[in-house]
Amino acid sequence: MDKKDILSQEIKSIFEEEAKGLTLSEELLNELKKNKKKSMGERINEFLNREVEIPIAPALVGMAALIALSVVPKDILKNEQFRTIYIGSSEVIIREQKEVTRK
Amino acid sequence: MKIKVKIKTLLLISTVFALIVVWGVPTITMGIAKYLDSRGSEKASLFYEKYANNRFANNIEGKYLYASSLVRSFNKYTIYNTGWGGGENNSPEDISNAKEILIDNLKDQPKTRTDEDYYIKSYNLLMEALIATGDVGELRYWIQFGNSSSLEDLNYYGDIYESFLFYANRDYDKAQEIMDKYKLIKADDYLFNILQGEILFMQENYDEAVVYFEKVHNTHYSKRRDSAFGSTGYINRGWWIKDEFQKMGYGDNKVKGRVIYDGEPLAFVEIFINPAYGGFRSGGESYYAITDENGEFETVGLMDGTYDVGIGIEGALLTDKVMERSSYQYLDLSGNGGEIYFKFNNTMKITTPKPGEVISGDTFMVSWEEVEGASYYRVEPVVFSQPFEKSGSSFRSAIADVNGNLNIKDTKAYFNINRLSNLISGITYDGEDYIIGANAVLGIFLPEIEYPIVVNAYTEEGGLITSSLALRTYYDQIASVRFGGELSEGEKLILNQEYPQAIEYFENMLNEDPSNLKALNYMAKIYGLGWKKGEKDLEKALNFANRYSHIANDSQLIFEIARLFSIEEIKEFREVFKEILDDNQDNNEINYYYARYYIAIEDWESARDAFSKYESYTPEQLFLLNMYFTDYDKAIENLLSDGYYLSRMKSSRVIDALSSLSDNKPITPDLQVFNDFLLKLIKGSIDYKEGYDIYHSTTRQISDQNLKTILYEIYLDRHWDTRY
Repeated sequence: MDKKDILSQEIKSIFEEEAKGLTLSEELLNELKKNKKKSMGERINEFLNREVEIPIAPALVGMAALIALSVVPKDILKNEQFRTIYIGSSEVIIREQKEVTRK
Repeated sequence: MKIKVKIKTLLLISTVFALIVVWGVPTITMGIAKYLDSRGSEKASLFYEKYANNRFANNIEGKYLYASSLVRSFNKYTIYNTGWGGGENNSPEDISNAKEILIDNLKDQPKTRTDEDYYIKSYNLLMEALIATGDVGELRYWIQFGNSSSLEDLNYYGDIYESFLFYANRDYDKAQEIMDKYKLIKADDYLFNILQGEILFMQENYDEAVVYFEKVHNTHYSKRRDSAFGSTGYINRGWWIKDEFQKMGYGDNKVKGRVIYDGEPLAFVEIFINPAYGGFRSGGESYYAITDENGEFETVGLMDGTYDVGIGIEGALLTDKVMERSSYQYLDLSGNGGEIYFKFNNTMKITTPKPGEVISGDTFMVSWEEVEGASYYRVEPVVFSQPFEKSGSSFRSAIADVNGNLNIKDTKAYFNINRLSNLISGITYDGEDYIIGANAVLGIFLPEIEYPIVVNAYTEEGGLITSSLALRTYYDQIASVRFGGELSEGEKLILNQEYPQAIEYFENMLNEDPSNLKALNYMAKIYGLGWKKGEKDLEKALNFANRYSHIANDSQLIFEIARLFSIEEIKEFREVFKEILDDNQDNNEINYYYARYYIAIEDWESARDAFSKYESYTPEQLFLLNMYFTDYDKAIENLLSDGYYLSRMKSSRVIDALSSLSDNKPITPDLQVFNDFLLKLIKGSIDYKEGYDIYHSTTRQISDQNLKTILYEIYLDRHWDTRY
């Protein structure tokens, strides 16, 4: 004889029958979502989509300065000029160093 | 102003920015470096250095480009007796830096094909620098390094440079043995063809050498190198062998010698030879030998003749060095070859003044360290034609100390600027109107102007041992003096060559103060020199100089003016001239002026007598006058004296001819023609342009072979054979 327990099946059918047509409010749904534990992907996505405020001018100046510092040699402003003159058979080099300064 | 950006957008921007830094910055740096390089800017080197130090850039490429930007080319600086010159030179510091960078580049094996290219280029540039600077020990090490490399190309270059070393050491068989290994596979290689041409040339196989040099000349420019074997002279060597070399080569005279610095050999120095015609050719292709690792050299055979032998050396090596010079300039070759030595010494140090020292008062001292073997010293201030800019032409001549000595025995001397301001030196004329250069009028040691001071040390025979002025040096290391005070308005007018205004200024000054010495001095010089063509007025000049001499009780200025008189002018003003000489018997140079006076009045015997008493040096006129009086033994004595300046004249030939004349007097008609010719020379009446014709017409009228020999040597000595 088949002694299979069918009570759980019956209870499920009763619940489904009673809950048919039941609608949860938006507020309740949000509350449910809020209290639900977030997955890692959701948290990363949320972080990436977060908006931050950036001051344009300092940001651009900073980036440009960083590039300039990477490209321009530090001695570029040193203006050492060499001029060769001849005294008899001697080659004489006149070195005139001029520092370029901002006024 | 602010903007709202999502973090993911910000991250994207940051990534792009990082990529720019990693890839873009080296690319931009290199782009700027190459642009500046193409414009010839010295700043290019800074950008190459920045690129080389960028961790994201190709390090081998960067370091190679940085090193090659430091040493632009290995042009030789050429020094002959009659001239010198060179192209763009490297500094010793830059060459040393470049060597270090290149050696650093060769420490690690290359990993990519691009790295391998720059690795090999680094090796080649290092070898070029080592040869240019004569660094034999390092060259041997790196030849071994190339030979033992796992890279085939490096093995080849190691071999080529080893062959070069054998060639420089004149072991041509061993050099050729290496070349033979590559004659099929490297037939189009630039270095191979150069070296093969050189090996053949030095073995006097000129026709075959030309074949290789023509291959070098025809090499596409993209495959040519800036320098090969530490030199730049190869590109036109084939042309030179076929053209210029034909006039001097193919003879039996091999010139041997040595080039040393402070007793140590200088390797791989090129030996240049020019005919002794007064000018010099500095094209890098015309060298006849290079020095071996012992500094010794031997040229190919040259025809008989008189030559100017010079050297070509990396300019950086001349820093703080001086070349010894004997008083004789040329090398005579007549079948037995010849020898010549080039010796470099360290500079001597001037202890006083220091560079830029300001002097107050009328007298200043120059002191220097003692030089071993020096018999005497000379002090020479340098005067620039544009003194404030330190540019234009420059001249220097020895100045006499307060005791009137030019040759100073002590290691210090005192100089009086008032006496020196009377001197007339550095005479130059500008433009078609022959406007006199300001320095000749103003003299030396004016206020506001800086004068570099040079001290030279000489042997008893007058050969230069060393100098305070190196062949290559920095101006800020040279001793110099500057005097206090200000230039007067009149001096400024002279400096600007505004002579009519200057004359007016000094005339006004003399109207107010007739005893103003400066005004008298400048007026005497302006008229004595002739400030412009046709404006020379010796009478006025003598008048101003006389007034100056009486007031200052100093005859120096009047003799400076007397020195400006030509023989014809002395003749014109002979009475005044004689009066000046008779009134100033204490002048050191008095006999020289008397001799000129006697020449002007054609009293040849008295002229000879006066020149004989002259002690500073042996004037050429004395030699000519002794020949005129057929006193051939005395003429030989003149030629052999230390004080006689020989230019191109082969003294041995003239001495032989004079000795023969003593035993075999020439016939009277020959002697008459010869003496007429001598008198023209003594009077200085033969213009350079007429010399060629006068020589030929004279020699045609003479049959005596000894007189003809002497005539020919005078002809060469005066450069009448050369058309400039």
